[in-house]
Amino acid sequence: MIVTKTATLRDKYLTRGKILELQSLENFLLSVERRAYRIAVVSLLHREDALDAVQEAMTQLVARYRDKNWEEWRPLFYRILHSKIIDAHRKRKLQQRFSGWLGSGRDHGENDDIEDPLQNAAGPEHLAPEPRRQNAEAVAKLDVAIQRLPVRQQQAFMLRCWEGLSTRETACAMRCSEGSVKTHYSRAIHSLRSVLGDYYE
Amino acid sequence: MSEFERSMRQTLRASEQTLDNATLAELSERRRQALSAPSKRRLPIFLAPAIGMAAAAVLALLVINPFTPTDNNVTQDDYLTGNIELYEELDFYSWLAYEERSVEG
Repeated sequence: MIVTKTATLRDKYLTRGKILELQSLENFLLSVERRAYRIAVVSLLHREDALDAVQEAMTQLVARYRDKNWEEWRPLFYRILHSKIIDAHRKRKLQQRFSGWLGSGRDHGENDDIEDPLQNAAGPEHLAPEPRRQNAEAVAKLDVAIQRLPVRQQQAFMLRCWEGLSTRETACAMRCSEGSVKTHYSRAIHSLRSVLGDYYE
Repeated sequence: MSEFERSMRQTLRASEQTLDNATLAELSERRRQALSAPSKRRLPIFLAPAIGMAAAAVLALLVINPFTPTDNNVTQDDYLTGNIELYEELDFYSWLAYEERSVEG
């Protein structure tokens, strides 16, 4: 009888622990999903691909890393997300090559889901039309400039500047040394400044 | 962080607040699906050699089973036929054992 009661209490405790863990995970995912989607869409220029990449990153974090310390979730999540983004790029290249061989002529770039940076970067509703338009233009210019960066510089910029990860966390997410992160990041800033310098300073 | 970097960060973070409702609903649904994913708990790495050895031991037992006959042509009946004379002359050998005991007694 005592053993059964202990087992029941233990199960209750574990269940409660699991519920708390899930709530904590849910809060974390809620806190990153918008940014993750924006990052993915800037990289992939495709709404569905971006949503898929974000979902896969969330799923993998929940399935494999829920037991990790919560402080590790952020760099882990972005590591997985960037890995999914690169997978999506590779898949797209393969599909384009395959389509080319078959001569179907269907280009992924002609898909209706392609993000128009100007369209989706509309400013906040509370702004008057003109400031909103200017804001949208600023976002669009920035998106285009980021897209033109080499992949590693893009990653370093997004993680360091946009997300605000430390150099160490960014190195963990990018699976490289802190020195490499600093190099990629400084080159990214230099490129962006040369394109956007007058606009943002 | 320079003013340039701060300005870019501000612009990018503000853009997150302007996502349309359809995208937000989609993100919410996908988050829900991700949270329902079963956990794939990873075993500690130090268990890998132990698991490998256990698997090898099981495989070895399946291949080298001491309880199976090593000669494929030998059946259970063969063990019986080797002693068939004993079974056919069982009465005689029982009587012989009895006689020997009587003599010793």
